[in-house]
Amino acid sequence: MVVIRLFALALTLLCLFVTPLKAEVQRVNSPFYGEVLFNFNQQNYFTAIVQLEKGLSQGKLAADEIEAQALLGSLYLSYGLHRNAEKIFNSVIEESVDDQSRDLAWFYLAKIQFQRGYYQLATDHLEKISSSIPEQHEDERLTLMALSLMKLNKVEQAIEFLSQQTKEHKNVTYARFNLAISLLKLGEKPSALKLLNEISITSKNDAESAALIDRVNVLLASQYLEDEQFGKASQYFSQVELHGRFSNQALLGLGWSAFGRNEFATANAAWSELASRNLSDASVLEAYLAKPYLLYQLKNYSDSLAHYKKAISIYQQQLNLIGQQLSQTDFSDLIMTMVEIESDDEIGWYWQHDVLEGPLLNDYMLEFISSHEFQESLKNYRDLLFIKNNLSKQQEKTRVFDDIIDVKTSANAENIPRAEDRLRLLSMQNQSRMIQMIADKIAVVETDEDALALADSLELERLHQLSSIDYRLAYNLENIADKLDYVKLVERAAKLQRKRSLLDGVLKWELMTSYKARLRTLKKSLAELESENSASAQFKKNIQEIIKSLPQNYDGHRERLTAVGQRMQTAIAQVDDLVQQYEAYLQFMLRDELISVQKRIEIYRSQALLSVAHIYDLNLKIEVDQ
Amino acid sequence: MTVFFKKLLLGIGLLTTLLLPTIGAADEMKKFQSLDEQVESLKKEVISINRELFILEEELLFPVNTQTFFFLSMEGDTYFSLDSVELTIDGKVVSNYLYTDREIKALSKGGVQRLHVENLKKGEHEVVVVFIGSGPNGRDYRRGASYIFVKELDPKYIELKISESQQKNQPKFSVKEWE
Repeated sequence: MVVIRLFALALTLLCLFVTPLKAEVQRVNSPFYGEVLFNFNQQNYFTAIVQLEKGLSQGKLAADEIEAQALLGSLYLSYGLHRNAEKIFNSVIEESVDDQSRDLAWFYLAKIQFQRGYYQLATDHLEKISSSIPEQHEDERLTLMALSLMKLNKVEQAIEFLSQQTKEHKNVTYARFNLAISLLKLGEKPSALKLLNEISITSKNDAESAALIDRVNVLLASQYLEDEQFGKASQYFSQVELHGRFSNQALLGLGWSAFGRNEFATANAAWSELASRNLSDASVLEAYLAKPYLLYQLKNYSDSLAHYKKAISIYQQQLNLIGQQLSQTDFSDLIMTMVEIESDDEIGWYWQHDVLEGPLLNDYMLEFISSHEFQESLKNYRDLLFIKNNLSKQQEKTRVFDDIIDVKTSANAENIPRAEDRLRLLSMQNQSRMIQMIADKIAVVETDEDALALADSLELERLHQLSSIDYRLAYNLENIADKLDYVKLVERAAKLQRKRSLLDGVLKWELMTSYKARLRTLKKSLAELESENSASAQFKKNIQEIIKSLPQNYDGHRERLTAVGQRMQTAIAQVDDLVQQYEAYLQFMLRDELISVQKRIEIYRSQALLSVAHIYDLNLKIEVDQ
Repeated sequence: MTVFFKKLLLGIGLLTTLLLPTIGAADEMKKFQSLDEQVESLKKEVISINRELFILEEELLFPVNTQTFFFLSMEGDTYFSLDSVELTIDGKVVSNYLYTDREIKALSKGGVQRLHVENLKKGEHEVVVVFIGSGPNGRDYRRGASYIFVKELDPKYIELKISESQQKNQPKFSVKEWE
């Protein structure tokens, strides 16, 4: 299976343009630019463009701004958005990069514009190139300029541009060839022949240049043949490769130049060889007319008649096949097979020429289908199918977003009041004042070294109990009646007071010795309390921020979604319309090409029929004469 | 008859193929350009629609105060051939991603993959990532890396990175905040 990648040029552009800015492995500053490259490296150009536009509009690519802009410009070019690319090159690259990079940008832009048929824009941008660009591009720049001028019918200016080219280059040769054709069309044959002769002596460096020189030789030779300069014609026809792309034309012409010099055997050999080749070529079909004509000239009427009849039969066969194709072939199926779109595939695009079923389409249409005009249209058609698919998916997404907005709106309605209640509660639970009071008290205790102030409730109770012993003893002594008992009681009281004093001392001593530890513990607890209070304040602040950051409602989102939905509807209608237009246009192109082939063969057939009639007349005349 | 033949044959046979691409090209180009301009304008609109929807999606699904991005990056070609990645956040597996060759190439050329986006509350979180693939000698390779980070109210970008240790000729896996 032969797969031809048609995005080759775009990729070349991108590689050429982006590579000088970055090494093979690009180091990114922003992860979002890295994400763009992740898609770009996978040739998901559409997604890369969307991400670049989004990132740039949100300021997320600020760290890689210049690279991002350059990449976006290149991607726009590759995606056929040359006006957008131009804006970028105008606004960013012209101001921020060196002259050579800027000139390269104009060059690539002009190249794309030339391809898409915007010749005036292409020449405008080529004229903007001021400094020298690399040699290979310089040659191509002149070529592009010359070709654009030719397309604008400014042939003299084109000649002037081409004359500036001093070195041999494939592109230059191609431009000269095109210029020669333009001159021929304008009737300036001597200038055209001079140019063609110059090209014909350039070296054949590769298969492509060899094919071009063959083409030049055939064109030159045919001009000499038309002027009946058979020797010269033969000389140029003979230089064409025997099995090359233009060998059929060369063999046909070689036959005619031999015929012109009465070298009938050579003519016969050339046309017989030609007649054995593939019938889809116009020269081969013509050989079926040339050979009987030769026999006719040699007065071999019976063989001539037989060959004309064979030619008629072959032409009829080909006409039947074409007629059948025109009436039966569903070109839309064929086109769909060619673009071979897959649901998520963004990779450039491909076409496979073996999908052209049947020998007829394959032979007659291959060259046409490979042509630049048809391929550009096919590429747009493929892009439209991708867009259609994309819009259909995005439409589905908008429905999901609509549901999300519903859910979020109802969640907000429930959660925001709850959060606000919590906020109110937190405000009421503000412990800061109490913490400050405790801190002040601790500071006093610490200043006074008041160990008793740090006694716990049990210790305080014990101290209180101890201090109450003296009071209770005094009361009992005052109220006792019996003197004997009084003496005993005094003694006992003295004993108890000693004990109390001892216990009081122990207790206070314990308080004094544990004072520092208690103070530390207290301070630690205070610090914890402060920390908790601070966390609570932060929590409150967070809730406030979240409430603040939450949209009070999703009306804004809903409005934006509705607006996008409406734009999407319009875009869907446009894409449907354009898909239909392109289908019709591509079908028209294919059909038109096939019809032109049909007409050509019909002319051959008519000519053969006329010749048969002429020979019959001649035979009749001979018989009558005899 | 001779002259007739010659004109016919030279007019069609020889020059048809040579000059064919330019015949009728002007009309076709006009038609093409008219359609091309419509396609170009539609492409711009569709890109803009996609951009707007991506922004809406992010705003609706991942509010700024909770959004946490997990990006996977690769430092050129490494000794490690990545097959898949398993991402766990706070003990919960949130992503199991299997890579295609195309994605690996895109990563090795400097691309960064947005592996996962999560809504995380303010506070401390732990991410554990397991890289599965084949190592320097084609052997099965499974390595993990973890990282604890504090999420504040602004977006957080965590990078899961595959690089190589030059000294040990071994792959190196790390998780860190994107700088």
